[in-house]
Amino acid sequence: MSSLHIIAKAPSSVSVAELNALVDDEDVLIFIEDGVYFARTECSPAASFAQKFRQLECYFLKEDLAARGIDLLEGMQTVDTRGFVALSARLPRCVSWY
Amino acid sequence: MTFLANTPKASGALRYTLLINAAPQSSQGAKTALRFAESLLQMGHNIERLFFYGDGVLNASSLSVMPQDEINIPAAWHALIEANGLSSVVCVSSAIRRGIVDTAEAQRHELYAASCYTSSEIGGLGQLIEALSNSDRMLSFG
Repeated sequence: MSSLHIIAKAPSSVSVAELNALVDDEDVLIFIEDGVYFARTECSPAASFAQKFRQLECYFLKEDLAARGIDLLEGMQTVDTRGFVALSARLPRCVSWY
Repeated sequence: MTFLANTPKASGALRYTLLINAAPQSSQGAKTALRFAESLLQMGHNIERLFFYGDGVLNASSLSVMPQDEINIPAAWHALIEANGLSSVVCVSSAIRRGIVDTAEAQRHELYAASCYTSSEIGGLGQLIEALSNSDRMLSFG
């Protein structure tokens, strides 16, 4: 059963090893709150996970990107809070990382 | 740019339980949960129960006073709960140690005031489990 992973903490505050281990190929990810810093992982310990999530269906919460002044790299997708709700309805399970 | 086309709408209305662990003052989680709950209702889904746990019980404080240019998150929860007739439960053991008490708890512990919005009830984890058994989705905010 696929899951929606809701990642709400910055790359420096989440166990990247656990994310790598627990996120399956058919899962969907949404980065919210400080999790949107995953959009910029060039010089962070999350680089290995970034390689993985870019192959998956993943979204960044628009409001939280705007609040932090983060520009997305090409190919990254955003949703607003309604889109976040729609994702939670689409996937049978939600897993929060905070 | 927003790509909502890739997030298909739910086939029908779902029942959600939201577990709120974040205090309104110390992290963004409470505000995220509030925005999520508002959008959920606007989109036609149902909230089976809001359950405030740990530091999240501070979202039910009727004694919070915020600067005028900041959102009063407990007041916003109260308004949302009242306007939509939602079930909202505050974990008793988390609440009383943080000074969140209703009239009954205030009397029981001989306190001078109640601090919990009347839109939420003081309850136990059993009510979270009960809500989960009636819900299609559970989301946790911290």
